[in-house]
Parts: sequence; C-alpha cells; structure tokens
Amino acid sequence: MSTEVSNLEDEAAKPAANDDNKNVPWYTADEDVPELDPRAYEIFANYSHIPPDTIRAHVLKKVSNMPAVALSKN
Amino acid sequence: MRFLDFSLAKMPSYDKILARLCDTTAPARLLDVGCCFGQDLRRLVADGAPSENLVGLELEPKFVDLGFGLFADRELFKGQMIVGSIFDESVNGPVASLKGSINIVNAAFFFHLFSLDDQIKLGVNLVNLMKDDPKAMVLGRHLGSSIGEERSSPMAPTGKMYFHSPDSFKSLWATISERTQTTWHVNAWLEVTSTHTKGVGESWWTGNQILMLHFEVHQVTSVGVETNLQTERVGTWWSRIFARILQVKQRK
Repeated sequence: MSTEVSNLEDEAAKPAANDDNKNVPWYTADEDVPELDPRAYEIFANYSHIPPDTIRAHVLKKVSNMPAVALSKN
Repeated sequence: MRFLDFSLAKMPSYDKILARLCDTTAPARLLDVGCCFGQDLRRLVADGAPSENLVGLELEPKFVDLGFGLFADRELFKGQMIVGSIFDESVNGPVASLKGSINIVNAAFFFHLFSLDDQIKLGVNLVNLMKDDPKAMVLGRHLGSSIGEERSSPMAPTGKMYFHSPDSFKSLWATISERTQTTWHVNAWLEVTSTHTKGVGESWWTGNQILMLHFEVHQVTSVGVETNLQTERVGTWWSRIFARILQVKQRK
C-alpha cells in the first residue's frame, strides 16, 4: 500500500475519552440506523470478509468513531 | 447511512469508468477527491477495478483511517490514499505528485462545500492533475437548486454554500476552461434529494428548494468530442421529471 497514512492504526482514529458528545447533527443512535444497502452487505461480506452475522455490529462500531467534521460530508 | 451510499456507481458512465480502470493495455487512473471513507473506491475494487489505479484524496486523516477499519483492507487496498488538500499548490506537497496523471475525477458531495471563487480554484487544480486525455472526465453530485446562488446553510463549515443550477455549473466550467486553456462539455441535471441530516428539518430542504445536482463533465480535445449521447439523454430526461415534481411541490 503506497500511502501517506500507512502508519495510522485504528486506535488513532478512536475519539478522545471526553469526545462522546452525541448532540451533533451526524450522530445516529443504533436504533435509528437504517438497514444497510444489500450491495454494501455484499462488499463487507465478500471484499472485507466480515462474517455476515456481524456486519451490522461492525459498521455500527465504526460509525461510532466518526469525527464531528463528518458534518461537512453527510 | 449516506457514507455507505455508493454514489459513483449510480452515475450513467459508471460501467464505462469501470471498463477503463480494468483495461490492461491502457488502464485509466481515477482520483476520488474528498473521498471521505473511500467507499466509492472500495465499490470500484469490489466490482473488479485494480486498486492500484485508484487514488483517494482526503483532508481529514481520521476518515482515511476509519475507511481502512470499516472495510478491513489496510493490507489489501493497493491504491494511494493521500491526506491533503486539493487547494495545496506547493511544489513538494502531497498533491503535486498527481499532476498530469489522472484520467477520471470523482467529486461527490465536494464542490458545494466551497464558495464560487474557491470552486473555480478547485476546478482549475483538478484539471491540472489530469492527463491530456480525450476521454478525461470529472463527475459527481452535490446539493444544487433550480437557481444558482450562494445561500446560508447549516451544513457548511463556513455557513455558506453555492448551490448550482445546471446552467450556473456550466458557467463555472466555462471559467475553469478559460483559466486552464482547456475545453469541457458539461452534462448536469437536478434530482430530488432525500433528507438525511439530523437537525436540518424537512422545511429547510423544501423551503430552499434544495435538489441534488448530478454532473458528468467530459473533456473536449482536438482529437474529438467525448460526449456520451446516452448520458445526455438520461440527464435531460431526469431534469424534466424533477422539474415537474418541483412544480407540483410548489403548488402544494
């Protein structure tokens, strides 16, 4: 992988301990998250090799790490 | 989950783009500017594109890192993921290495983040990264309106967004063409958008007549005009449909 960010690890992407503010426009509670598009499921299962029965939990876990600047993207 | 909405795959030229990326004799190189998690790049790879031909450019390093975590492909994805700004014109900056190397640019939900002046700079910088390729293309979508104008927006970092109409987007590219001494054919059309953003009520979207502007911009060279007539027809058709929907909504 020829990338300028190859030294980054998942841990670095986790929000700081005090960064748990859910009162931001991009935050979505688990129960409000719509079902994934079937094509997205396929990609997580066949490309990412995430076990199908854990895909939703995997995505929700990653979504919880979305930084506040996601506001400008979503 | 809009971040898992593979917008590039919904564009009329997607199959052609995929074929160009998969061409083993003269493979195209695609830049996803403001790639966020790189979801469109992963969709391309899942659909068969060699990841070596893909480049993601993202200002926010956390997005790039979260993308690798989300798609679990830190070792698998062989493309370039560059953390940097398209406005960085420094000779030794991370974007400089891309100059003259890109055939296709995906700019999804990106242009609308900037003022009109910055959109011109953005377009000029994108063109400077592209090869002199008769099939060169810039495509994507962003918020737009039937009237091109700058408006206040709760979703923009600056509080202001320039909402393009198809006509104002064509004017933008006329300016970009003039500044870069290149020529581009713009196919842009409006569609109704859904409301995804929490805290931005339905009334903001309907009251401001916010639509989604889709665009495919093809380079016109002395070699020939790369105009996808089928795309043109589809774009015109959608514009008519949604103009009609807008009229009905306004009557209500």
